[in-house]
Amino acid sequence: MDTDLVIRAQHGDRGAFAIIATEIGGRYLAVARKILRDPDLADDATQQALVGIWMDLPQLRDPERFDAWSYRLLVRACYAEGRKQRRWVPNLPLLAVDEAVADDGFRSIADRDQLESAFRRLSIDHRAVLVFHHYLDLPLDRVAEILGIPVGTSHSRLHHATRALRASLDADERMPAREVAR
Amino acid sequence: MNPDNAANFVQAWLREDDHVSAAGIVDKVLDRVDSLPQRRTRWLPAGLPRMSPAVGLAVATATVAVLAIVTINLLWPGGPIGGPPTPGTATPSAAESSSPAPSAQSDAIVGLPPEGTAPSDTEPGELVLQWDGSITASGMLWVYADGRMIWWRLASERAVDGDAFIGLVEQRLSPQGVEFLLSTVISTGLFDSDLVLAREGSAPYLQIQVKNGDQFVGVTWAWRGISGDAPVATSAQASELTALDALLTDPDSWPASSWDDQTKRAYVPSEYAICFRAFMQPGRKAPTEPIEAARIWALLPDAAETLILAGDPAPADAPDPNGNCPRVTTGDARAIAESTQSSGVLRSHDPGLLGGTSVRAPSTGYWLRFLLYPQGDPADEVWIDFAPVLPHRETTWLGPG
Repeated sequence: MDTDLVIRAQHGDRGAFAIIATEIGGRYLAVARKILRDPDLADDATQQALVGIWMDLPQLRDPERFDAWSYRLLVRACYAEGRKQRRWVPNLPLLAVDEAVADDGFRSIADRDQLESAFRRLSIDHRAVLVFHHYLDLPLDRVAEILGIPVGTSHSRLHHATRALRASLDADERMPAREVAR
Repeated sequence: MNPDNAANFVQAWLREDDHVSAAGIVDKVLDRVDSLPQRRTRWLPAGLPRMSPAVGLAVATATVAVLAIVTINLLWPGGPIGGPPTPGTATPSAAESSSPAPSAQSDAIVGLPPEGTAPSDTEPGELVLQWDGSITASGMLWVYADGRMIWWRLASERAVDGDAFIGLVEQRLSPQGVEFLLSTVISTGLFDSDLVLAREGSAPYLQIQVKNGDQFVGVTWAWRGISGDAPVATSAQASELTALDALLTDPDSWPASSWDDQTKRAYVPSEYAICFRAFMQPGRKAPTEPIEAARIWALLPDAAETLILAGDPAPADAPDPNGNCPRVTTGDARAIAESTQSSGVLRSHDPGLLGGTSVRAPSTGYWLRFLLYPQGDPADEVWIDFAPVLPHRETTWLGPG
C-alpha cells in the first residue's frame, strides 16, 4: 500500500481513504469469504473492517505496516461475524461450488463437500492461517505478523488445520462430518 | 493422500470462485465514514504539533504511573488498585496452572476463577434488559432489576494485539441507572411486542430485549439470513435502534447518577453448566439414537463423573441450548476440571479446532473445554464445555467453535 496515501488517510483525508478502500476492498472481501464461507457474513466483516480501518488509522504507528495491521482488523471482524455463524448456521447458504473446475485436480464434488465441512469446523484462527498462507501465498512469518502470533504458532496452526482437512479427504466413506444426535 | 497433495488440494479449493466485487461494500463504507470521526486518543501521528518538554515530562510521568498500576494489577489480580475480586491464597490448581495468562485487559477471568475467589453474587437476578449486537461494538450485555450489569465484548474497541475476546465483567447500576436504561429503551415505542426487522444487504446484527411491564419484549434487527421475510426497518426505526445501540455500548456516556459502582470487576459465576457435544469424523457412521449423557460422563475420571452426576438439572424456565447440562458449583467445576486434566484429557485452548492442540491461542476467552477421543464409542470426538451460569439462570454463549 502506498505509504503516502496511508499517512494522508491517517490525517483524515477521506479521498485518500477512498482510494485505499477501493484498492483493498475486493481482496479483503475475498479473504473474508474464504474464512467465513458465507457471503453475507463476509460482506459484514469486510464492511466492519473497512470502517474500523478508517476509525483507527490514526493509531497505526508505522504506516508501512498498514497491510498487516489492516488484515488483523479484518480477521477480528471475521471473529465477530463467526459468532453469528455459530448461532444461525442452519440458515446460512453455502458458497456455490463451481462444477466446471472439477477436473483441475479435485477428485469429486464429494471431496469438496468433505473439505467444506471440515473447514467449517476449524476455528477462525486456523482458517485464517490457511487462507493467508494458501490463498494469498504469504509466508508463515508474514502470516504470524498479521495475526499477531509467534511464528511457531502459525506453523503449528497450519499443521493441525492441514491434518484435519487431510483426514476428511482420506476418509473411505464419503459422508459429511456431523454432530451426533443427542 | 500425502501432506503435499493435501496442501495442493486445499490451495486449489481455496482459489475456486475467486472473483468478487466489493464495490457496493466500499460505497457503503465511504458513505459511513463521511460522518464517522477517527479515533485519535491513544497516539499522535507524526506531523502533529510536538509537545513542550515540560508537558512531555508530565505525560511521561503519568505514563509510568499508569504502567505501574497495570503491572501491579497483572501481577496481583484483585490487588489494591481496582481489578477483580480478591482470590484466596490457595496453591494454584491444575485447572488454573494451565489457564491462559490473563490478557492486558484482565478485568475478567479466563477459564475458571482462581480457587478461593468468592462468587460475585449467588442470588438469582431478574433480567430486565439484554443487548446483543455488532453494530457499534460486538458483545453482549445483561442488566438486572437489582442493578447488576454483566457484559462481555469483543476486544476490537479497545484492542490489545492478539486479544480477540475478553471475559465476563460486572458493574453495578443504581436504581436510577436501571430506570434510565429501561425508560430510554421503552420510550422508543418499538418494544410493545416482539419485533423482527430486516436490514437490506450486508449489515451488522442487533437484538435488544427489555422488560416492559410484565413482558420481556425483544427487537431483532438483522440481515435477511436471520430476519427472513420480516419487513425492512423504516428510517425512523433504524435511527432509533442505531441510537439505542450506541447508548448501550457506551456506558461512560450514561448519567453519573446511573452508577452505584462503576468499577469494572470480573464476574465470578457461582455455577457452571457442564455440557457435551459429540461428533463423528468423516467416513464413520454416526449412531441413529441419541447418546445418553451417562455414556459421555463415564469417559471421564470417576471423581469428575461423580460430581457431574450429582449436579442439578437446568431449570425448566432456563433450559441449556446445548441439551442436558448438569449444573455444578464453581468449586465442583474446578474439581471436575482438575481431575479431568490430571487424568491426561486434553484441554482445548483453541475452541473449534478439529483434533485439538496444545497451542495457547491468543483468542482465548472465558470458556473452558476438554477434548476426548473415544474412537467411535459412542463418538469419535467429544467436547466437554464449562458454561458460566448468569444470575437469571441461563448460561452464556461459549465462544466460536
